[in-house]
Amino acid sequence: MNWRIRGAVVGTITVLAAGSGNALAGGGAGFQFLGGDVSYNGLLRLETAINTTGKAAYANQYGDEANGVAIPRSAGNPLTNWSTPLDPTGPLPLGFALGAVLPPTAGVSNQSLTTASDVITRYVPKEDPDINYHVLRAELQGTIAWGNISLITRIRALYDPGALGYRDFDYDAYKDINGGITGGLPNQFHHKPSYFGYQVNGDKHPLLFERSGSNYQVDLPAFFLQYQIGSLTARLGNQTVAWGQLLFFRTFDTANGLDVRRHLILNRAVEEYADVRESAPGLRLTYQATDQIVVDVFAQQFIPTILNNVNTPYNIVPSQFTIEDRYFTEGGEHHFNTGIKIKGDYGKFDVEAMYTHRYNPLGAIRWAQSGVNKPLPNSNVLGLAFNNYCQAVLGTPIGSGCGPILAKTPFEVAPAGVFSAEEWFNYAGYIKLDSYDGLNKAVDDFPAAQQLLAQDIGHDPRAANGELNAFFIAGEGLRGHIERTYHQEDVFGISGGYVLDAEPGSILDQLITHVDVTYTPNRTFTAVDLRKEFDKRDEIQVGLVSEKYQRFSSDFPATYLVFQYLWQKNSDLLGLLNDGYGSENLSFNGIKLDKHVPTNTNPKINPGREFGSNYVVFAFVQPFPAYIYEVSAAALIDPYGGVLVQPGIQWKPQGNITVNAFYNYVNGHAWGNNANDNTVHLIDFANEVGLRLGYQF
Amino acid sequence: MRLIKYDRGYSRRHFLKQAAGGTFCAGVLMPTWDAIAATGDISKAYPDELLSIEGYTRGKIKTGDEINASNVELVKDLLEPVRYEQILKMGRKLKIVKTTTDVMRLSPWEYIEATLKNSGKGRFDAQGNNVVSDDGQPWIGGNPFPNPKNGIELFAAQTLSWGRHDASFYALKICDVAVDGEPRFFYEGGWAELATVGRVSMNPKPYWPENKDKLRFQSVFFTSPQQFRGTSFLNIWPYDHSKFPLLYGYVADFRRVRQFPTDQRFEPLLPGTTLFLSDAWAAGDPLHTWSNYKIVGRGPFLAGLSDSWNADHPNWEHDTHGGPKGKTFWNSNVELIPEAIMVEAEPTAFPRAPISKKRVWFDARNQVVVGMVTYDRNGAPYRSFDGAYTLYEKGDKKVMDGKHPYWSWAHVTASDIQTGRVTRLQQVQNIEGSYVSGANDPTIYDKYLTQAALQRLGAV
Repeated sequence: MNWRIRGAVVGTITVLAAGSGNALAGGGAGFQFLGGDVSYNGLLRLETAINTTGKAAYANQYGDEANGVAIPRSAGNPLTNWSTPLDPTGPLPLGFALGAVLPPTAGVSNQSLTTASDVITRYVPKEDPDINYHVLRAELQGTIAWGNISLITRIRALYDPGALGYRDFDYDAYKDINGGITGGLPNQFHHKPSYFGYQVNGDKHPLLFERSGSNYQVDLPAFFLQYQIGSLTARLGNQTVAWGQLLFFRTFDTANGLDVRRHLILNRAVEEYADVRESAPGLRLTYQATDQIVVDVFAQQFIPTILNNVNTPYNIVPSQFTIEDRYFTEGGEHHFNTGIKIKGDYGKFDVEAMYTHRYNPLGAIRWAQSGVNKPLPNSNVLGLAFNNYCQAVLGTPIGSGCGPILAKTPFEVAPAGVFSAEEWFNYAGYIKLDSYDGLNKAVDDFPAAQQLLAQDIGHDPRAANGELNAFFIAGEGLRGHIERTYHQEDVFGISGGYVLDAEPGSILDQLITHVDVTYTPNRTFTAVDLRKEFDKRDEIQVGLVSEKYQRFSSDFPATYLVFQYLWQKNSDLLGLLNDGYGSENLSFNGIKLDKHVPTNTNPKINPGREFGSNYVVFAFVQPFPAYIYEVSAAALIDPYGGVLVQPGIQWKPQGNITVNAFYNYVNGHAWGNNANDNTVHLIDFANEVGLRLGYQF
Repeated sequence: MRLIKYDRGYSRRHFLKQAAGGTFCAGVLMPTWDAIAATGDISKAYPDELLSIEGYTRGKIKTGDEINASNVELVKDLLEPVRYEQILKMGRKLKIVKTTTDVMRLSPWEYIEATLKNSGKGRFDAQGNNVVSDDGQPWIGGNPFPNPKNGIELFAAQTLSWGRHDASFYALKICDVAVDGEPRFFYEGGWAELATVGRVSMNPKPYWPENKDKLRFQSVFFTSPQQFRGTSFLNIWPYDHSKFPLLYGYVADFRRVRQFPTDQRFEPLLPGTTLFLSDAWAAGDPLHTWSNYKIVGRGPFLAGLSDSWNADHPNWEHDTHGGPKGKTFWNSNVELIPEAIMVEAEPTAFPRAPISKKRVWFDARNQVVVGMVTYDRNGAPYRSFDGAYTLYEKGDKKVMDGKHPYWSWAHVTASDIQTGRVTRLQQVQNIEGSYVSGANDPTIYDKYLTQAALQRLGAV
């Protein structure tokens, strides 16, 4: 632990100690405002996660597994469908003779005379954070009640000072390379990472009830009028709607997306999505129709799941790609989700049925035109040759090189992109995409790419290697552009539960089991090849939860135990298609970027998951007498080799102080020989000690 | 000069004689319930020594005096051991008020009326399971066993009607005080209970037809501190006295209502406290999940039955004293109860319950619970509960419940004997202005006692 971390910890403890004092505030109430009874509670909390992996997120620039690795590259020959090297046999297009006088560009060494072969060492250094997360959180919940009408609010404010153990990549540091990055949202792709700022293309503040920036987020997760008349409760305003019997697994929980900007889903597991579920403005009606039947209806503005910004500690979207978020430009702000759930409780049995008509908050991603009119760099022979070709053959204006053509492809000449076929394959496999067809669709769906001699290479590894390296050499690295769009779907669900009676005190007594099943016809998925048509399939989820409280001794309170299982026919927990799982990496040079992924010259790509995605969760909570201490553990198991285990302890020395410590053990290669087989691999950089010190009133 | 017809030892000998003979009938000079039925007053059932503290102590302690360490030995036999120790060593004090003889001031008016009206109609069904009225239907209201013959009849009546109103809502404040005398945990919230049978005030009576198969709806929720705001639980009790209630809960972290196992009733409801669901009204579990009910003793007792409403505080909040910081105990008024009945029971349906038995003191006049001590698995005293009931009437101030002043509990002291922690509960006029204590308001069902209500009360 370096001095900065020690300072942070000491500071944290000092602030907490000062804040606790001897006073025990209990919120406030007992006065009126606007004729209503006012009450409020609050929370002040320091939250920290100390990285114990010694790795940055793989998707971040500093975590790129190609950083610092010398990777030989050889451009393919377009005349042989890129399957043979250009260097030894190909004709030398105009300008190649200049190779001898053009110095190597950043990261390049061992250039051949023609510069069509070289060794690239990704010039972004590998830097690993000491701290993954540190924020100061304040929350204030306030209510004004006028009889059966109340205004219920909760304001949440977070501040992340940055530094203190972070390692922040700064795109500005590379702006002198090929003109820096042009495309994408400036707050994400042009500077240091924005920890909290949520922007989409065309709208810097897409959420009505949030203002956020690089270091802060202030929002109103709850801000609604509540009206109760008899058995009916109406809520109008910004709110969340949580449905379903399963915890962690979102089967019925379809109303709202998630906001994982703060701590991904790595906060205290037993809190589920309390801090993560994204609220949305709308109307909710809850009606107790009979003693047994509750009807719940909502209509809310559609708000997407908010992902971690690029280069923030928990980002999982490869930072060599620029995401264009079409939420605003496609009118997402004007879309509404609606849903109805009917629940009947009949003693030991209960049944639920739900229907949601919604825009899937995950969205779907595909290749997009970069729109960046910037020529290939003339500082290498291939780039120079392509630019001359574009001007001479394709008729682009003199001086613009291939810029106008590239603007109509998904690629942008910019620093800190993808530099080698090895890097391409590694990240396609990591994010569950098809390395071959992803490349082919970037060609087939974009005629401009074909004008640049790019071709569909099928599943030929040598051709893929040759084509990718040719353009990466020419572009001195290329950034990909993708767009995220949102699509309607209908989700139907049924659920049933039963409370088992057995011998008092036995493990089966009072075991509560629920099974949730949902069916979503024609869901729009991100295609593994990022094709423009996406991939539409019927999705089925089957989830089971069994839970109970069991007393193992008379000295300790009962232990809460929960077991869960989830099967999804076509997609994983993140909504990525199962087809994208299990890819191997390609290298003709023996370069193994991910030591847990098989790498060879003819890799298996996207063998997929034969039996769908399966996940198991086991968790327990064991309070100590008087609940002063509470230990817990939760485990998420992907049977294909990934585990996330979170042991934790909570300490409540007094009513207004809560201390939480937990450890996230994340292993994306626990068994099996290919980490790309399991979902947990996406975050297995995130081993960390979490610490939260809270003062509440 | 007044001749004392019954000397100081008469009542003691009477209680011992009945205990030795295995018989039981409340009252010393005549059956208490006969006296109540005849005059509404219990005075004729007990000798003078049991009707005033002056009589009991031969004038050494008078009404208005304070019981403290200097004089507690005089009333040691009137206290459970825990209160005696707290007075002796922790500075706890009790103020003596006049013994109530008018039974109509010891329970809700309608409850007593129904008890009188329905006297003799209550019995256990042929299976010995449920209390039924003479037509075999669920109980119709009031106390089915006003002249109890055994322990289970006392507990059956207590379990059938906790607060003795058809519906009650209690705005609560809870404080847990550490051994050093410093309050460590504060909680606020509400407790609601509504009877579906045996209704004496609210229409429809005596049953809510759609829920005649149930005994009650009951919920508890918390509004403070922030971590627990919106945490709530709903129990739906079947009328079958051997079946556990259904339990639904809104856990703040989950943001939704879920069903919970119901047999774990010895879990602390809140951090820092040792209050269990099982402790509610000393009869928080279905009647037949406990057994071996037996009367183990009788005699006079000191407990709070009157003058315990703090009318001077706008929110009815009580002051404290005692302990290292003067914050450990409620300022309490107690009166001499002529006869309390000690009943013990064992939690036979809970294999690993932390307690082995409970001893509960019932006031023989009206069969309300006036004290409880639970024992750990080794038979050692574990926790002690004492509290105060009151009529919410003081001078010209009163809180009405229909045509009569509101009767309810005022405060409870729960002492963890083994750790020294004390949890204080009090019923206050309101929490947050919106949640107001009261009785027999039919709207509390929709407000607090449905799953939709839990959702509405839940954290946001």
